[in-house]
Amino acid sequence: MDLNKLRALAELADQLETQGFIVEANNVHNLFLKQADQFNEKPKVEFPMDVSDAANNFDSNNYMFDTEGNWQDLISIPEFLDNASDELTHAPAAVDKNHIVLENPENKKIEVINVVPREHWDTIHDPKQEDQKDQDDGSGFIKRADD
Amino acid sequence: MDKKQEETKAQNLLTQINEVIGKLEDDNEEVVAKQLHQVFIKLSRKIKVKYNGSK
Repeated sequence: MDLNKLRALAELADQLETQGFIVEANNVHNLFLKQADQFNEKPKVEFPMDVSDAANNFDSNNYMFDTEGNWQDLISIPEFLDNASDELTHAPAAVDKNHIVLENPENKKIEVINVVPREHWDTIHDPKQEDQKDQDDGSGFIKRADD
Repeated sequence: MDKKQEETKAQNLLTQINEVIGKLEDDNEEVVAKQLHQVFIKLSRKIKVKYNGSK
């Protein structure tokens, strides 16, 4: 539907309401809403590579992956690739400086892997630190460096 | 506004709806055209009752 017809529907709804035909105005307004929804912009993100290619964009000596998004339990890139299923390594993906975005083949949902550079490794929450709570502020976190 | 003027406005509105239906049909927007046609029929009946069945 083009914009002119959409305007025509809006105008009809308006005039129906003005003349007191409220039920009909609502019906036309609902038609208008349904059609107008087609003009809602839907963000489109291209996935130009697969997860394996995306992972290989990062030097395994200098980056690790936070696959759970909880800023702990970092895993090395080779370990990630070894543990990933064929389906996962071939899933569509995109990268930026610190993330891999992918379509999880298990549930078809879009997920993000944080890519953590070496300089942040020792600032990420380490569960082992839980044993040393008394030595710092008790949170188990070491202060995270600024992104 | 007297009753005759009101009726004329309502009839004009029907004409306008009919024109939009025609345009929708021309562009193969059949589903919307059909739904709007239902509105046209109901409104047409309502107007007929409201203005004592004239026209």
